Amino acid sequence: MRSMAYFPYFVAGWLMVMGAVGIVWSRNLVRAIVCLSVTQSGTYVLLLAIGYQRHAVAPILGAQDENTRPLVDPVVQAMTLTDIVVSAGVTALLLAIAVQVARRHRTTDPDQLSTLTG
Amino acid sequence: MKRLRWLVCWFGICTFGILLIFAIPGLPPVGDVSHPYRDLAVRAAVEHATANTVASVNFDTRAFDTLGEEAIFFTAVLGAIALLRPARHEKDRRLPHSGRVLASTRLAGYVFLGITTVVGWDVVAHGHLTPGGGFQGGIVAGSGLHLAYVAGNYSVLQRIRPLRLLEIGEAAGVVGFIGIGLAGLVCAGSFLTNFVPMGILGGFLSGGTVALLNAVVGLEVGCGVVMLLSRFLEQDLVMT
Amino acid sequence: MTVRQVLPLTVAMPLGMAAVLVAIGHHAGRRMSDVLTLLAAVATTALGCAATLAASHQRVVSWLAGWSPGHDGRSVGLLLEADALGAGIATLAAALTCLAVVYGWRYFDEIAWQYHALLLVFLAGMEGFALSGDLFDMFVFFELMGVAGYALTALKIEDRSAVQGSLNFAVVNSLGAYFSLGGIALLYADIGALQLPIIGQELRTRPNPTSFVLAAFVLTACGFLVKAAIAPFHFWLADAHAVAPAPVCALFSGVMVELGLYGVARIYFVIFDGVLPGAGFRLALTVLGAVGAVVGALMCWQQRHLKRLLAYSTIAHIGIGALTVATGSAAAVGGAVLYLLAHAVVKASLFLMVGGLLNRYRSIDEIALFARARAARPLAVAYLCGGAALAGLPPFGLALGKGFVEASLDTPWVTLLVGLVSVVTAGAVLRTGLRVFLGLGAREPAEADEPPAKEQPDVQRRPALDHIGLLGPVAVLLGAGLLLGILPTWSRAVTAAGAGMVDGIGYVQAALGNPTPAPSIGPVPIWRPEDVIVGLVTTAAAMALALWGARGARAVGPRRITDAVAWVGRGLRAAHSGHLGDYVAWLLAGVGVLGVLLRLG
Repeated sequence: MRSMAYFPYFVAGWLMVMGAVGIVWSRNLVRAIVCLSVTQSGTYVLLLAIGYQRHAVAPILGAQDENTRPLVDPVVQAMTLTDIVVSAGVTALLLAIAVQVARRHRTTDPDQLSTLTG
Repeated sequence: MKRLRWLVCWFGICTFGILLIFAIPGLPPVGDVSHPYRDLAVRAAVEHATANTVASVNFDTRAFDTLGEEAIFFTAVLGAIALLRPARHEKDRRLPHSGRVLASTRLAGYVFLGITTVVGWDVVAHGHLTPGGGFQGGIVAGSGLHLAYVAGNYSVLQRIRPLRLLEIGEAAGVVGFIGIGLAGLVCAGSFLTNFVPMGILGGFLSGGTVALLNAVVGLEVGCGVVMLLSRFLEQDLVMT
Repeated sequence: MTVRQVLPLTVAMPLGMAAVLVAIGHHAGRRMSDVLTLLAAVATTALGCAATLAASHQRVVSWLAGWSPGHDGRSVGLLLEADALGAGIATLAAALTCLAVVYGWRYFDEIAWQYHALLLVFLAGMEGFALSGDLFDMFVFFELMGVAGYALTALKIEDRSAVQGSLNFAVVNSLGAYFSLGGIALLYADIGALQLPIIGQELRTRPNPTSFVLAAFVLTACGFLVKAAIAPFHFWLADAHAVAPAPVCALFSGVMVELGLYGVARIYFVIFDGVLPGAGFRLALTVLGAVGAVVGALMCWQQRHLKRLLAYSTIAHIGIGALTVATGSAAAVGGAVLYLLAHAVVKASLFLMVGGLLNRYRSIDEIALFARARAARPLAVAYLCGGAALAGLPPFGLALGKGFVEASLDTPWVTLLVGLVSVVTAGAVLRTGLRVFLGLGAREPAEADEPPAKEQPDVQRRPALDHIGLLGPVAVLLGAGLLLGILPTWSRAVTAAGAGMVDGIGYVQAALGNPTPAPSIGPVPIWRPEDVIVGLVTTAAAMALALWGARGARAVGPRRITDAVAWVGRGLRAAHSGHLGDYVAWLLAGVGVLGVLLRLG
């Protein structure tokens, strides 16, 4: 079971690296932006795995016997929520920029964008 | 250059992977019992009678973070609207038009429009008690409005979304957050202090400023998401 | 109200004003929007000054919402902590924003309020990042600064290169930020805290496997290194700087990049100093800084696009700053801060001047602008002064800071590298100055086959080059660069602020309620005769290089060597491809290189 106890961390690391690799090889800017979100999903998995406790309940007080059963960490959940909002904002802005790139350059293929060489 | 990219990328993947493989065993195993910050946060939530401990972290103990978070959303909307303006040589764009809509779709759309809006604001209103809060509820309520476009057509959506008012509502959400923070500074000596009477844990009127901050964030996000989508919907972009 | 209590207002004030501008922007008209923005920026500057004054005696610690730490040294809340350097940078950011508003008084007519609101949010992000004492808070404000920065960069949507540059900037920076968040999560898993002082305290008291600490540092620092444009994380910078509106460029080069290095230094000295193998940190930052300095200088020399040229010069200078911070010596870091501050104001003034040229002549290309600005005498003087200041002309603050770094390090190769980088970058700036303002040298360059650099102007009018809105901010900035070298009180205060950064334990203790007075620095920067001589020599060398370059840079020396230099130059330019995939690949590799170097040390 010991190896399973670290499995979620490896999933998180895998998502983070693969998102970045996805951006490297993207032939479409929208795909690159989605890959950026994949990297960010890695951070969600990492945060939630860190805050998890076996047999703990959701971090809402007053529902039941919170004195006998522990709660999972609400701090990482708050951080994940912040992270999601950040991601939503950044993605929206990136898509807006991508729309303008498509308008100005008539392409969304990074290989064909060539105004910034050297 | 592709070859160089390939080499650099593989070097990065390998070294990054090795870094993680050696680092991860240094972490506590998943499901561990030791969470010192959790213990403090839960105690603080009980102290301030906030049943939803996540909301307590977001809007009470670490409320300053959330101000930054709200500001990011606000800025993203502001930036996207500024960037999606028509360029100097472009005329105003064609508005999207809908195709044929089945009567049953239309009925379902309007029914769910009402339900979604109510649910969204309910999630905002109970953010200090149950899972959810200003961000989640605001998104639900704001995007739910677009059922009018799915079920009817774009002009219906335009009629039920006064963009000027929404812009003011969005700004008011940010100003309101700062205002509550300032009130904390004036009444209790520190910015964003939870200075309102706390009430009883689990009651609707509990948690002090947590509920108020949830409401202003809900206002900001709800208005912001409609503004954001309005600009994206008018982009009439044909990609090949 | 004490300074401690009003510290969060440095963030809240500009943010609130940005929201007000969005609410009333449609009706307010442009004059109103200008005035309100300037008002908020000036008020933030005043607050920053007050915080800096207070912090120069003792660190100002502000636990927000009344959640100060208990007896066990743990807290559930978060804090802002201003030491002299943090508060000073916050003040610099606000002051530069004031100048940017004055300079851009009539920018972006049709979307003025949106431009101003973005500028104010950008300021709020910088303030929050500089003053925050909490890791997650740093991430949030890093992203706030980023989001506003991406939007400002792409604001000229008619410009083909602006939208592409902004996209590269946004993706690379966000990716770096997410890696940072990963690092923050690792630290949180280990310590169970997010506040810098508490993490610093706890991490020092418990044994940790080196590989874990190393990964936590590499990931956390990654985002900040991207912002600081340390090689190989630097690729986005030239793209973003080349295309953003000039006042925004001045803010980017003047504060944002420095904030990245500040973030790296902050987390290292507060959290990782003594935990991470020190030799590894020194090696890593020295190597990356030196590589950045050399690459930046070589790329700078090859540019015709004036803003790109200045951007690469920023990369070179921040590289030197990084390798100085790597030493960890209080005096050297103090000198580096003086050097980087003087560089920041001079570089900001150069960006404003180049922006003036772009708006007036509709071109940003060195060759296309040849001899066009002959009539603009005051601007010519200012431009050449700025170039000479970069070269290390006494009595500008750059030369003083550089001399102090060299005196406290006493390593010949650093002296040599700093000298070479100064000569090449300043030589490139002076070369453009000679060509554009004086019409010196050849009209036709050797590389005439290259298409001219194009950029859309920031405004539709063609403002004159002797306009007070241009010359005023430029004079203020260059004057500040000069005073940093002349006024001993200024240079001493800046050096002391920088030296205080190294005292991570003091930062931790102040936050936990045991304030220590700001550490006294031993030596203070003074003009030694050898500094003056070195400064004059490098300035003369830069001038000579500039003249040689302006005359078409005819090759001198053996054919084989010149060919090799040309080959390296071409290779470097090809590597800076503007391709998003390349930049992200380099970022991944940079993380790996950083890890390897830390391990080797």
